[in-house]
Amino acid sequence: MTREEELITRWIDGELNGQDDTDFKKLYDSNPDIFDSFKEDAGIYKQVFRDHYESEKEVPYGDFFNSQIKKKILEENGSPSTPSSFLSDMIQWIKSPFTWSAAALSFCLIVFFNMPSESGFSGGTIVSTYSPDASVSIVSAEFNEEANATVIVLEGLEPVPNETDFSGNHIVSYDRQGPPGFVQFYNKNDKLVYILETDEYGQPNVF
Amino acid sequence: MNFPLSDSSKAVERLNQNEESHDTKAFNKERDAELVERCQNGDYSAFDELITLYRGKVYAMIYNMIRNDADSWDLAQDVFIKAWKALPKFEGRSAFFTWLYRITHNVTYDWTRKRKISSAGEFDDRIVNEADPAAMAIPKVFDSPDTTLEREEVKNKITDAIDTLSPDHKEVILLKEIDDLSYQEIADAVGCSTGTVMSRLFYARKKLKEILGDIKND
Repeated sequence: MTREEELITRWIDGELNGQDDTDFKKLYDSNPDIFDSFKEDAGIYKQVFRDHYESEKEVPYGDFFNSQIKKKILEENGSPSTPSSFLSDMIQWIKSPFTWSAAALSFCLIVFFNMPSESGFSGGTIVSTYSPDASVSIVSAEFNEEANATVIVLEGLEPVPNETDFSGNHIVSYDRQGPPGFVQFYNKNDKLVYILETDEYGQPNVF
Repeated sequence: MNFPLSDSSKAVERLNQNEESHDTKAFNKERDAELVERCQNGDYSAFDELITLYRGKVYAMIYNMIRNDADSWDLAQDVFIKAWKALPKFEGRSAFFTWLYRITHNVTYDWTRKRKISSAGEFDDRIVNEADPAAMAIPKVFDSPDTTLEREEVKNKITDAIDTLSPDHKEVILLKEIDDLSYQEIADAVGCSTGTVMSRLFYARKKLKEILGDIKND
């Protein structure tokens, strides 16, 4: 772009100042008719621009327009949360005390669930089991959704006497007050249903 | 020495307009800075306000370039989605709208490149030089400039000529004549120097002046 072209442009846009003004005056004096014609034509199509083009145009369905933007941001990011960079996100996450608390809790749970139980139990629901009688082993202890009950399978017990009736009793609570190995089981009406005790030989008996 | 559009009264008028414009611009800048800060702190409602404030301008800018309502609507949404993603990097060195204009420029150019309707930065002289049979029947419009129909014909020809400018020239002259941005604001919006802005303005006006001359001679 030549200096002359720059001066003409600045003159049309009213941007002449200081030295530009002085330089343009000399230029204008050389052929005022041409410059006047240039300015006149610029005024004509400036008016055409303003008649046919808009600086601001109403967006059809403006509210819907906004909601679509939000929807697309949600789809891409999951939530229109803080538009932060990945690195700053990482730093904030690491610095958060909740992150450390959650990490510590997770670590404890992982260690706890991976600790081998003394009875060799390898189930996934019950946290721990204990059998005071070494001849009795716990095969499994887990919640049965169909029965809506915790089912404990033992091995090594003496056969249950035939006259003992277990049917129709839904155990909802127990207590272990009394000597070791002595457990009382209650149904939903707080009625004592079964008693489990260990005899002098260390064998569990159910009454 | 008399400069028709540079005399003192016009200068004062322009100065007053500039002062009002400066006050409005200063207010807008402060308002936008506050909204942007809220956005960067995770307040999406602030971004929704920015969308509402500027969607009309973004939509107009795109429409002025591609002249299609449906595509302009879609592209305007793309602009704001990109703006949301880029907000963390916005440091406020330029006005928010200038920054948004830059995104609008990029989105529009990407779209036109894909649609292959760009004229590769060159004014298409074929449009000017080809004889338009209809033009022969048009009376000399400048014999009676107040006649509405004749003026309308002139306007339509000029509009057609503007639409044949290359995207680079058209965009710059629209931002200057319609949005009244400064050279620096235009340079920031389109990603070039102020010298390039002035150069494109000059050549766009020169081409339009030639077309106007042809119309006058018809």
